[in-house]
Amino acid sequence: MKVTRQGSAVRVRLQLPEAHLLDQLLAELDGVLTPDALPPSDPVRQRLYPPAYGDDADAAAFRELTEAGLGQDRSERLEHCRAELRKARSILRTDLVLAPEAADRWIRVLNDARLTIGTRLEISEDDDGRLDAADPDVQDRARYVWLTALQDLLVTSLMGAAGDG
Amino acid sequence: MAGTIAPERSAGVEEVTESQVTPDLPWITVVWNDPINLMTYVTHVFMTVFGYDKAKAEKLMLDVHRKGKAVVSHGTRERMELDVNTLHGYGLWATLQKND
Repeated sequence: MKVTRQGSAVRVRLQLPEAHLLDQLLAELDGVLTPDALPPSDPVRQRLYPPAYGDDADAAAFRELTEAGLGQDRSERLEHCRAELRKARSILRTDLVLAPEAADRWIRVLNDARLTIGTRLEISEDDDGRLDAADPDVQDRARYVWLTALQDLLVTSLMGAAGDG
Repeated sequence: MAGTIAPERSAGVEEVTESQVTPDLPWITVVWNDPINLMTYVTHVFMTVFGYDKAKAEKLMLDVHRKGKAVVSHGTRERMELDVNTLHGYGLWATLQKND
């Protein structure tokens, strides 16, 4: 993966296996992103749709008003990114050239993916991203680390581009 | 507002006008620390959502990281509900409460 600036845009270049991995991660995200996809007690749902108030009744009323809209926005962002990725993919390499608005959308979708996988893995503050072959979750951890690197590169590139005006 | 990079409002302007027309007590939006959201990402969100400059956004992000939470905006209850909803859309752990 290589993330570079192209004027005010950010270019993400992925090799074939990376584009495949990203495609797969986004496809998996599709099934868990909306509030009705998971039971209310599911930690992923609670993380994506957290309470807005300390008071349970206020939090429930707020959730009633906002949850469906948030879910729909999340789905639309994900669909948009998946379509862009499909269009950009080729045998040789995948180049995504993202204007600031598109980069922000990608950053958010990558964050939803990290929140989903990270919550399942019970990532903690002390987690240093090191991988252990004996860990039964090693594959998901590796995918999480890769997503983290991609998101971080995208955010810092976008900030640098914005800072240069 | 999905996907926009433009600041969704300018900081601190509506606060004055709203306090003149509504007796509502000031409310605050609080962002809580979590182990998944990256420091760079949280800074990006504060800059994008509130239009804060990088220095202010980074200071708030570091408060979240080190102190466990930070007050990121204040105003009417309705305004703070909008802010919390927007921050939830970015995957941040945000709540609102009365400022007392």
